[in-house]
Amino acid sequence: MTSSGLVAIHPLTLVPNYCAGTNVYIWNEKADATVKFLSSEQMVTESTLSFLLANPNQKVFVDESSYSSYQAYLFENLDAWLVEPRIPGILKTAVIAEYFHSRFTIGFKGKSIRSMLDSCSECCKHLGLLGQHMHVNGRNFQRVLRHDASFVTHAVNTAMYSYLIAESIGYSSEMIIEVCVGAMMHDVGKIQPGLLDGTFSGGATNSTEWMPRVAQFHPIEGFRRLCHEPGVTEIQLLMAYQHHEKIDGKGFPVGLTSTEIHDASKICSVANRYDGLTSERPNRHAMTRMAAFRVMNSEKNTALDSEMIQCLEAAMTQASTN
Amino acid sequence: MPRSSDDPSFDQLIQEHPLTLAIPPQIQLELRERGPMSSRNDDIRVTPRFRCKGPAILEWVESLSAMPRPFPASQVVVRNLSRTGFSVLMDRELFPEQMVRVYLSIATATAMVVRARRLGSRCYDIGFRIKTYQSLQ
Repeated sequence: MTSSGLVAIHPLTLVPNYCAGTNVYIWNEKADATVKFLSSEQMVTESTLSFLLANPNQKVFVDESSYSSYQAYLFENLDAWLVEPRIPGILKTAVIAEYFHSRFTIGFKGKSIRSMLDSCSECCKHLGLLGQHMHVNGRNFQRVLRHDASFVTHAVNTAMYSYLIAESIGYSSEMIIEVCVGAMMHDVGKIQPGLLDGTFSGGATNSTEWMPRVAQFHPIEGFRRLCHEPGVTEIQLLMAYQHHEKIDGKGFPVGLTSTEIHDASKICSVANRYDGLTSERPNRHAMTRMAAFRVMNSEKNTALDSEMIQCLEAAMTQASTN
Repeated sequence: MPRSSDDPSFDQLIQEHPLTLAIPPQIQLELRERGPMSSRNDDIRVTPRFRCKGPAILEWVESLSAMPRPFPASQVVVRNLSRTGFSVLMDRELFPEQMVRVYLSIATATAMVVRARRLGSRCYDIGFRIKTYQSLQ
């Protein structure tokens, strides 16, 4: 949210032949101000899209007071967009990423693990639908995902990267969804009980709130919070519990070695690390894709599983075909 | 769970369940120590913990619905204990919130797993919180 009453949205969520249901503004560099781009009744046109595609760094906003209208526009049209062959893949990826962010934020504000889990299941079902209709491309993800230091962004991005790895190693579509939900919930142990009010903005990512004790025990706490929730699977529990285990046995909380760590946890671990490196952190800027893989490749077979790194690297470097 | 006169004695239980642990040498040395453990800076324990070494039998009571991992009754080595909890060395990993029953020479207790740490390929340090305790004396 911004102090000026505007909320940033991803420009590529403006889909031709649809109304966003709220006034849309763009940042005008010359005027050093936001200017109205579309009115609430105005339909997005192909030329609007061409302009946005040609200006990938264009900042786009909607009114904070009518953000719920924008969310309704996203939620109601998502399924139709995902299966519509004429909509470019980059737009589908953008709308699903924005949907994940919006939906998970709502789940997070529900102040319970159950509401978070429900929102994750809902999101990942849609990602599965997208996967049925197009090849989900890592480059597109890199282009549309946010890279800020918030808890929600980290959860969403880890799920997206886990999707790419799980798909690449040949998991079934049901298993991919299961892994994605697990990835979205992997850091649930970082949420302090008093912070389950939607104001929590990060765990390891927020130095002022960060406590070593939370760092050390969040996998156990996450496991404890999830293990009695109906519908949570063994894989999802292990992803929350084992995502800081290392191949060489020097991880935590148990200190398991390579063969003892579940593959889904290895996926989560690699996705978690990649997002950590390529997102902004209070103490450093986000790394580029290549720099992040340099770091991760130096950690293969000590901290991270080499096959999972290879899968993610291949998915993230593959040129877009849609 | 109190034992009845028909139940096997503690010694019998120990004989029926041979120790299958592989305790690493550095832990073997540690097990010789006795007395209160010094608390660490980040220790949140509320009652003092004492080093000890003794056999016990651990029996699976209740698992998690998403992770049903029953295991046969096993002999374990008690490593330390306090009024509220204890830790044992065991040949397998257990998971937080799993419930077990432990048979000691002087008592039986039901307890919940709170943490596990791998010390070797067949040796895990498992920490428990005591739920119920029944002295046999």
